[in-house]
Amino acid sequence: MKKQVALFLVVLSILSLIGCGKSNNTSTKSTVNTAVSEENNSTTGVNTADLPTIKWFVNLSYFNYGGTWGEDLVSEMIMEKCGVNIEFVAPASDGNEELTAMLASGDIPDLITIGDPSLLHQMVKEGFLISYSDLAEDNEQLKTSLEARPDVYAYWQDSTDNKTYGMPNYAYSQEDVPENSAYVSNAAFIIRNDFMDAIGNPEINTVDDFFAAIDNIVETVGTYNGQNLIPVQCIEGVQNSMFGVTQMFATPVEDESGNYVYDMTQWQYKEALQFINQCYNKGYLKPENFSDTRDQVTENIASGKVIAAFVSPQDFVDAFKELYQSDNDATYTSFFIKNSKGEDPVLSDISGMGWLTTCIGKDSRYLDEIATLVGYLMSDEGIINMCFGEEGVTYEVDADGNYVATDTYQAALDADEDSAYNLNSVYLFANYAYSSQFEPIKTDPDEIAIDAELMKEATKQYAHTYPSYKFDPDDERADTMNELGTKITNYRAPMIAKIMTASSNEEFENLYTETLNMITAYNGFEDLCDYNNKAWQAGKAVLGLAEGEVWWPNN
Amino acid sequence: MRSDKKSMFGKKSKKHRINITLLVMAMFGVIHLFIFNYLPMFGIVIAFKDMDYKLDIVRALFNSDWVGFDNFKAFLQDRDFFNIMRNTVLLNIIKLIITFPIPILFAIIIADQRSRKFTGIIQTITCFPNFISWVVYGGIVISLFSSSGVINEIFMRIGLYDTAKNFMTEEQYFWWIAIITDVIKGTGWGSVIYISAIAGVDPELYDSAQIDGASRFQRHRYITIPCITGTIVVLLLLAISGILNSNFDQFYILQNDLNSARSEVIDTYVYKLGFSLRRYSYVTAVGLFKSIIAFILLAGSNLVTKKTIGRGIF
Amino acid sequence: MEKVKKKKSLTTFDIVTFILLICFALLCLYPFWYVIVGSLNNGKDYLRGGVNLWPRLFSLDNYIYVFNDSRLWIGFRVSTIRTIIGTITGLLFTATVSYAMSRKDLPCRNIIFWFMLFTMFFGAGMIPYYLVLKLLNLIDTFAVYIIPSLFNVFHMIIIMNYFKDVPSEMHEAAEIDGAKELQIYLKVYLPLAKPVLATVCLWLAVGHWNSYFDSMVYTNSSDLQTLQLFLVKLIKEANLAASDANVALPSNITQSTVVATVRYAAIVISSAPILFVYPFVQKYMGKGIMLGSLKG
Repeated sequence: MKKQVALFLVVLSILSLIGCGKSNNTSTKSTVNTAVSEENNSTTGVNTADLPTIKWFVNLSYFNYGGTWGEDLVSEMIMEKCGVNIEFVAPASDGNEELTAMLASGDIPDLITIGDPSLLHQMVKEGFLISYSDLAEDNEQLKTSLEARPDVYAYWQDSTDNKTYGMPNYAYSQEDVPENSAYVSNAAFIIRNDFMDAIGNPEINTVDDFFAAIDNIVETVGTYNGQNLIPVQCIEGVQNSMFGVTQMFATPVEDESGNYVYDMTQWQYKEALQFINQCYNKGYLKPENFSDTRDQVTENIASGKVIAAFVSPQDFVDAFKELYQSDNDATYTSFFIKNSKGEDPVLSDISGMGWLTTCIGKDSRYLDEIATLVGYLMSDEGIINMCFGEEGVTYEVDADGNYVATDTYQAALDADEDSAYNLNSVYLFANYAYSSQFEPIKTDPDEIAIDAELMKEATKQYAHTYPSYKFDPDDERADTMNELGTKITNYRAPMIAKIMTASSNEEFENLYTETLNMITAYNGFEDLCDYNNKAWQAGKAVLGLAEGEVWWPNN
Repeated sequence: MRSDKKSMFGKKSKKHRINITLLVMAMFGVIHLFIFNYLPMFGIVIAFKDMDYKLDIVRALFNSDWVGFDNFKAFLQDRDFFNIMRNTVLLNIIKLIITFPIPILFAIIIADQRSRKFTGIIQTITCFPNFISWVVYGGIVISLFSSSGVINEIFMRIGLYDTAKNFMTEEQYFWWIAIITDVIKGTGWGSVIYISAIAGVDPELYDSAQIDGASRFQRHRYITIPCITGTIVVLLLLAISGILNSNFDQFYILQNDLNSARSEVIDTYVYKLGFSLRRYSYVTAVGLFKSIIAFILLAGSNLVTKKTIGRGIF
Repeated sequence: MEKVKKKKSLTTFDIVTFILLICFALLCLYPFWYVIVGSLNNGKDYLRGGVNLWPRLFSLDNYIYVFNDSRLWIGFRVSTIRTIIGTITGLLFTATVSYAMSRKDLPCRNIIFWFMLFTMFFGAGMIPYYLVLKLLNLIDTFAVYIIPSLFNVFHMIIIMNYFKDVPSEMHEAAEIDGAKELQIYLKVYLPLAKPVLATVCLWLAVGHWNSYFDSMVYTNSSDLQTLQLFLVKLIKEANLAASDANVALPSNITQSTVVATVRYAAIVISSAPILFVYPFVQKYMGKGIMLGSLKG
């Protein structure tokens, strides 16, 4: 027994010694690394040790810089043009524990990226941050970058002192949107091409036509790879799919006067729920949709059993790819179902005023360098560099003015050894509207078949830029309204699930009325609507609409 | 004589001198707890102040308003309070009655087996599920209990019913699923303490019982169980005091919109309403409420066990 | 325990319990087997579902993905050293206090006990605790893994109860032999408590080995990251906000690592050492130790 213990301890010690050794070893990834980095090091001659290191805390548990700082193209570009090293730190938890611990103990990072605007406002209120406005006074590069996109800059002003403390990524200035361009929608209804071909590609623009087609497919096709078909697949929990379904049924978000309305009060919403309820009762939508996890949804799609899905396709790229590789005919395309009055769907597109915001710690030692850094990243040059790389090295400009990958870079991409370049890793000031203008159109049929954007090509005609609610964080009702909103959501979620699974029309009606009555009778519900309306009007103003003007396209 | 007096400073002591060595030994623990447990307790005032959403906790501790019991009221007067308490408490009571004895029985059966090698392997295997996180284990459970899962196949094959059900979306099954999956996950690991307690029983007792012709059941009833009563009582009292706690990871993964009437417990509710919104004072207040109830339950049940079987937690 | 009774005959009860144990063990084995199979299967292929009892497309990629990351080895080192030091120190520290608490002639015994028990129920939350640690300069040091876990009230109660059940004759006999209190503790009681010490040792070891929360919040430098924290991070990094349907992530940043199989590999890697150690610990629990101590 003692021998076994000794052996075990020896093994563990060896493993820990490897740990000692490897902690000095900075890169274990591909061998392409050494060739490229040697090349670049000799031209720039920049040594990481000489430059100040900026600590950038990204409050997303899944953020991963991916490359090795100092040895990949992205880091070299930043070191050269801004004269700094960046140390990215991401927390392990999805809650805010690490960030709050840091702030509570006064250990504030140089740069902080977060997803929650109310958290940003709180940080401003408590004086943790320095504004871009102040920083830009002494830094030309930053000033230019901020002035290039003034609407975004103005949108993100904090109400405390009307200075801007956070700048976003994936936010589009009016300047960035080319004339007559359209975006695809976020969510979509997709259906299998091969199955539709098998029944002769009928029209499926109404609920009844859709059901008829599904029945037809189940009867004609029967099984896929010996497994039973899944007629309708939703995102796990089903309610996550609802925003896509309600938009497909053209549920208005405002009334004729341009004022906010609660979705459950609209007949289109009810019809959308009825649609789901019918899917459930006809056996198209299995109960598993309510209890499955994301893994199981992905599995269903990848296994090829799913006929139609109401999802956001960009979340399931892996599944599409896997399915396509085993069966080149198994691809999806989007379709539309119109409500009983034949109204056009009003789908929200993938645009907006930002996803993540980055702010700057007030007491940072390197404010000048940070100003240069963010000025660079926000500029056109920075956006292109982070996304496409360096001209001549990773991309070339073709005849149409598009940026095409160089042969070297394409080869690295194909071999999955592009970590030496690490493009698209610093997306914290990315501007997709701007950079996507330079992307060439895809020509490879394999790529086209599984591309989520192309799958949703047809949605462009129905996709609109919804105004985002712009809440006033200094409204004294803010906290109460947030809590009330959460309470209503917590009440509503199980009720909606019950409504969706109601076994008869009568039960459906009863539950629906009961839920709606309960919510509208909630103490403070009217205040909540008013609070939301204020935010709605402010959001519309950002898009340039006048007061009282109606945004809703179906009029 | 002074030394015969019973005082709160310990039972009747035969010695005149105070046992300094023991005191010093105990002081290690006292000081450690003072530093790491009592010092941070200043934070309990957070429950009585309005510190929701605050980030700079130290400054907020001094600057925010005192709101007394408002944070507690927010929880206790919530319209869902009754439902959530029922889910938490009732489920835990049922769970206690069913799952508390199982590791004990398991340990006794293990101890009784003849082959040490066999029980060694069994013990190791039954500990496996303890090391699988609920995220993964829950995923397995969900697919097992789905309409196309193994459980349905078995039940239909033995003719219990004809059409497959999804157990996870029907609220009446939730508690049973929660309990059964807990048993499988926790029995092996939970029996370790009882196995070690049984190992401490003097084998001479068993030998003499054997000689006296006692049956297996009699041996366990009159020797094993009394000898491990101390351990059982401690664990039972702690389990009773934990009646308001739930395994967050388990409920979070198994919960869905259709079974939430039964699956919403205090810990998940507070997470949704408190943590995600950064309502710091609210969360602390609920935690304090739970602590007080737990402590009262412990003191109370300790009194009961001391009066009835003479042993308590201490 | 019943080492002499080889000639007992096989009763029905024996057979029934044997079968019950096997069935239960199979129920326990299944989820773990599922995890192992998943970890050895190609991730993308696993996506299609249907992999149950055996890997369909065998692949070590998941393990390679985990082992390739240099942070894993740091995690291994940190966790190993932490587990060894933390378990030994915690065990000795707590056992010493337990012994004192088990003796009736400890002054102020009742007060001390309730003082300790109180802390099992009342705590003030993470931030106040963090601030105390900061005050003690323990933040971002290795000591933050060891010092706060030197003492645990629950473990203390368990060991204390065990000591209480030791017959008082043992103590008296040692006193007569002229031993001091400390010697009695070290030479008589500690050796007798092997089963319970083995149990607490196991709990401490598993606690240290699996811990990630303290590493996550109380340390910053990557050199202090535990194994479990590394695995949690790895899994998070491989899983790009997939469930947040309202956030429209442009496809140019969607990553393509499959999280499920990597997660399984992570579970196997982190639990393998414990399951390896457990059989050794079991040996301590199978011995009868009182035998012979009281003779004479």
